[in-house]
Amino acid sequence: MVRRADRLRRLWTADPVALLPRPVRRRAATIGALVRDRLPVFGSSLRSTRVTSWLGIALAVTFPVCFATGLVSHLIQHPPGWFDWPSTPTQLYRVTQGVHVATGIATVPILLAKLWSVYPKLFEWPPVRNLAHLLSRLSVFVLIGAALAQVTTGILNIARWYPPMPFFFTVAHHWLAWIAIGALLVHIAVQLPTVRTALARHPADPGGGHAVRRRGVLSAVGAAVGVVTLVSVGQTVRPLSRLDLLAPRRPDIGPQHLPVNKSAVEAGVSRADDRYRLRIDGPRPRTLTLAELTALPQRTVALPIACVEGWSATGHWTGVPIRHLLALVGAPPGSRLRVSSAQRGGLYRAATLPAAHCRDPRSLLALRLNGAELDLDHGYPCRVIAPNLPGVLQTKWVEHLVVLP
Amino acid sequence: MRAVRAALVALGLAGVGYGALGLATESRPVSVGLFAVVAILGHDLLLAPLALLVAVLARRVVPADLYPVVRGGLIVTGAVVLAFLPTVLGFGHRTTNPSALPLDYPLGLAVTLAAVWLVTAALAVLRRRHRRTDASAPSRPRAKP
Repeated sequence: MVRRADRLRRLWTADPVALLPRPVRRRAATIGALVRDRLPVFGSSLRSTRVTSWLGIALAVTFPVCFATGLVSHLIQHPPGWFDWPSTPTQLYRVTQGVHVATGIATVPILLAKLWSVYPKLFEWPPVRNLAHLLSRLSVFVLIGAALAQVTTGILNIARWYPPMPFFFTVAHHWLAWIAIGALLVHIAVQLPTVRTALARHPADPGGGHAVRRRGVLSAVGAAVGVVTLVSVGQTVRPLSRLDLLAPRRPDIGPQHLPVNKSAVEAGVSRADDRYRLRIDGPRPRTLTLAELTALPQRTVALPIACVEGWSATGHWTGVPIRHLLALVGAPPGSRLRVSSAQRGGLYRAATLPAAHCRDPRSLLALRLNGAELDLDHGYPCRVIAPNLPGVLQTKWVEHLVVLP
Repeated sequence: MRAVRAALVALGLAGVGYGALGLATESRPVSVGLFAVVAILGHDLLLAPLALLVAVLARRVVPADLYPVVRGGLIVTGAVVLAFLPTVLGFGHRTTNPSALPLDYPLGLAVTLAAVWLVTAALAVLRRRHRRTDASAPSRPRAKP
């Protein structure tokens, strides 16, 4: 038993070259020396454990923020039994998803600076010292792969450029997030002592104005974070929309001055005519014409459309409160509502409105937007609009409602 | 400390395992893995050497005292270009949805970078002036007595 533990420990710290047969070992040493002499030399005195530590700490903030906000969005869209998403505060989803995308964009300069600061480690020699070293390098490989993939796929998604991703974006982005956050936790655990030493109050200062240069690099990265945020965050923060030079959306551009995630043409939906009927299945099923819908009591509310892609914009919606429709068909309290669209395909042709949102008096089956009839791209003849819910769950071109217990 | 680190490792490995399992069962793990490997190689073999090359060239061209300021401008430029490259290239633009990617992105990029370099130039001027007053300052007290 003792001998086995001993052998394990030796394997853990053994030099892999020493394990090779002698003739191979000799040749390996010669080749190793040849390679070592040809490795690049990195002269930049800007790199230091301290700079790397600060950048690492910044990423240890942005990654969990993206993870948590992304997970919230995932849970709202695929709610497990224990998860109840409230309909208040109204702006909450707009904020969490806006923060998700803005933080993801802000991560670009920090992540690249972090990789720059440790780039020479890529060429460390020997490449593998022992088993522990090999595992540590592999975990870093997983971390960097997942981190770069997360940021890249997120950015490709908001730019709607899908061919470089030969997989379904949302599913891959979700599972990669678990890998990235897990690998990050392992990395933090491994590097914690190094970071503590590097950031101790009296570090061994390399001198020669190093502190000044370090501040220079960190402020440049900070400036980069500021600029990429400033030119894109206007897609969700209205007062900054004039600075919105490079965001995929501007909150006032679109039909009826509101952006559209999927247009009618893209959804394959054409304008409903006189034959349109809204079917409502419940204890007392009803079928309503558009005229009958319009004749029901109407309400106007100011609610945002908040997209998973990080943009959001407020509209003034007029329509029939969902509560009223539920009462019309005798739905019991606490019911949910399955909402189906005229859209024939697509992931979001139907969605379930949670009980909290069915109860909320501000949830509407909207017929009008900003004082005019709903544009076809916004879901004519009617769409769901509800507080604190992702836009993809606010079904457009509604033609069928089913009361669920 | 040891216990915290051990707990972090255990939690982290559980996260990686859960993600890998989900990726394997619900997504296309080979494609996603390949994407991640290409991302790493793209950074290590293309982006990083390119950035180092730019730094080496800039260091040759730019006066030594202004290099830190110019380096800052280069860092911001690189971040803006990379973060918005897919948007600027515009391959995701569709005429079927005019409100998606509605702006003139090459123009937006040009305006953004112009502003970045205007600020960089202003900082460079300030630095030169600062240096000059710094250099002349020590001579004054000596002249007084």
